[in-house]
Amino acid sequence: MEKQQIIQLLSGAAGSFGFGLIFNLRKKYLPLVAAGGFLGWLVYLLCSRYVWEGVFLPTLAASFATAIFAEVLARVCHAPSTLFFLTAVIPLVPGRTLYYCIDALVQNEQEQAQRYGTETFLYALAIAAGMAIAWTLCDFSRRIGKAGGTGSSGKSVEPEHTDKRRMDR
Amino acid sequence: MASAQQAAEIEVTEIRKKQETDNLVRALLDMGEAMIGSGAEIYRAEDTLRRIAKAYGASDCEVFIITSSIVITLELPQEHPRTRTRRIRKPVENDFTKLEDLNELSREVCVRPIPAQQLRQRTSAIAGTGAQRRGQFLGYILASAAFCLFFTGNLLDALAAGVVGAFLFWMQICVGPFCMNSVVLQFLCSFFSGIMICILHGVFPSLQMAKIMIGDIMLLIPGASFTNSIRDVLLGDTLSGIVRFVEALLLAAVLTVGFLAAILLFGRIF
Repeated sequence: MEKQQIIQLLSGAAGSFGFGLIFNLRKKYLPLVAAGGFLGWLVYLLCSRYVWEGVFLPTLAASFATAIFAEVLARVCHAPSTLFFLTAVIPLVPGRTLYYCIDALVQNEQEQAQRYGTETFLYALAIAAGMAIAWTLCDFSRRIGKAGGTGSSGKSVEPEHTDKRRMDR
Repeated sequence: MASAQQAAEIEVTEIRKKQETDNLVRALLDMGEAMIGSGAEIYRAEDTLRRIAKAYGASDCEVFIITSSIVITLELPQEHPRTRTRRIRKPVENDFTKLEDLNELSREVCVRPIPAQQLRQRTSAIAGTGAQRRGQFLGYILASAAFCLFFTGNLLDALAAGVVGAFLFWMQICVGPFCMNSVVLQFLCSFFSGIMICILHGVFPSLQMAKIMIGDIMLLIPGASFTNSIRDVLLGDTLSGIVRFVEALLLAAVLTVGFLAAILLFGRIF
């Protein structure tokens, strides 16, 4: 792995840490979301290098990995998974392409601007898709687990409630 | 005489009961507003309110929340159902410590209900705690500098991005309260930080303007509200999801316009 990629991994983790601070996340979770940012970008780098070309599928895979990571943390820490996902996914957010889109608009190069604009949308779409897939799978596993455990059908099983919470019903 | 006294007592307890129910509805509204305000998904807030109502013995509770309003109909046994709405005007400010505290409070009262008045007090105590400004300040600097490095800037660029990040923090805290809405604030933030970067570039020509801008765009880009909008849609709250999605799009568009204007007006001069 080249130097630039190592810098990216570390600074991506630092960026997630920074967003954790901005979102006023509990101190004890900050290292965890930094690890999440690191992991997401690592998956992106590996996928874009060895598996797929382009931006869509690697971003999707990275977002998927981050979402699974967030779900696992949510169950371990008994906290909503949004906390972890929103902060850990930040390195995947397409700030770069948005800037180049602006830059192309400044230079009055319509074609370039369109290309970068589309790319920005693709990134965003890929993040959403990866998250959606991961989330659906986790929800499935939860429903199946519950249906098997208590014998009831999976009716009205809410996502991401810990066992602690289910007792109240 | 005795029966009159009894009747009076019954009346008093009736009034108490009514007050208690009133307080409960208000407590639920407070809780919902605080949760939405600190960045919860619609689904989570609705579900929490429903659970609390059940724990307090409600025979029926309907909660409907969209990003800007809460409607609750609560029915306790042997009482008339009552409905209250609350309009939410405060923009969402992600505060995950608050969100977690509220979550814990709701879990706690679901197991062991406390008087509604007390629930209100505890909710407002949590909602009233301000975010840790110093932590946020460091977060703005760290995140902008880190993303400047992330997108191949060098250390000096990162430093400049950090300075602009600190400026953005100041804008959010000091200028934010005077802005009509988040869109105006977003425009001011992106426009002035764009100007600032142009000036920095003019004074120190060795800085790479593009990398600094990318670092600071990462702070302003509405990634969190975009992600939240998708979550809302996935959970079945399509309406709220669309509202948030449009908000995110608007913020992204305004961000583009702000930087565009800054570069067009000042990029050539410096």
